[in-house]
Amino acid sequence: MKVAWVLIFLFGGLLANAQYMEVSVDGMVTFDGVDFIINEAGEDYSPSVESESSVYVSIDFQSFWDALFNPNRKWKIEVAKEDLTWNNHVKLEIKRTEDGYGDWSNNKRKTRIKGGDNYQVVDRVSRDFFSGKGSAYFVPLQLKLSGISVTQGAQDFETNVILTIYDD
Amino acid sequence: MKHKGAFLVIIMLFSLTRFSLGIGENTEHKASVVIPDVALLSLQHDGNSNIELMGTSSSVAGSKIEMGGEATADIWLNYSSVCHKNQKRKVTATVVGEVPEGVIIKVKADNSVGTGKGELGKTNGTVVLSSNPSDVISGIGSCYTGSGVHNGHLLSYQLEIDEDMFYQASENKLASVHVVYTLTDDN
Repeated sequence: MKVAWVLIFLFGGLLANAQYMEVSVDGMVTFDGVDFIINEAGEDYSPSVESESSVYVSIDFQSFWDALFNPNRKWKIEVAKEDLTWNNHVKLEIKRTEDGYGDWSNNKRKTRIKGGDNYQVVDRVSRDFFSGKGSAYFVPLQLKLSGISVTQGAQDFETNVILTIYDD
Repeated sequence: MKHKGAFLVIIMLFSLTRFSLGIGENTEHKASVVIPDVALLSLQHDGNSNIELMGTSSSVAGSKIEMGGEATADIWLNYSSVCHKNQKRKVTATVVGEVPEGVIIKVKADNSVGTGKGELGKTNGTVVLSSNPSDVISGIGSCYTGSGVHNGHLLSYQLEIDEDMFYQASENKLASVHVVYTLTDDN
């Protein structure tokens, strides 16, 4: 009987702690000739270029039971980048432009997220981006490039922006 | 004893599960940057860009006609060039219109001044203009000259006479020509 109680205690705790959120991203960002504009011959590019909000991040419970037993689970997202080929003169920044939706089905419930609404540098070191509670869907992200100059020449480079979710 | 073993296994599994909850789950998206080739050129000036070069008649019988010498009209050549590594560009000038027989038009671009940066072009000195493109500036890489007057290359023009041709064929008349500048690949 003692053993049974211990097992109930352990698995009860496991169930309560098994909140495992998952993060997913839709879309990608490409900065190209449309973004790099020279207004007049003799000039350099604009000091910075912003992407359209064509990347959306969603945070969801991994299982129905997680959502049912702890809908207010706290989490935080960290951001970093892993360069494939990158120009080290160029700075990449990220922010979220809106809050997204708290409800997948009817998009009526507000999300409970905070932070991340100002540009912050994305580099190889993972840094806090934003945090929240429960699920959040279609949170739009925007990227900004600065430090690009005509003098660097024609070139292509790319990086992977990595978003990692942790229990907060 | 049997129960104890099972109990330990359960505790180990429980610990492992709890431990794994502390590991973050990640996702990623790609951010790509494509900087294309660019070649932009303009002429900048204060006021009128026309240049008038006039011959002056001699006051002494028997002496030759002098042409206008050098004329600087405060015309500045600005450009922005984005090209691939080791690729070079040049600026050519071409005369459009009929130059009077025996009259030679020359242009000189000074080296770039002002706020420009990068691999700016070098002047080819004074070059004779014709209906075929003449290289005025060469060795242009990825760079910008700065925009507006007092940025880029200042242009100056000269008129000269090929006396043999001039005295044979020239008339007393006004001739108007255009000089067209092109920023092009230097292959």
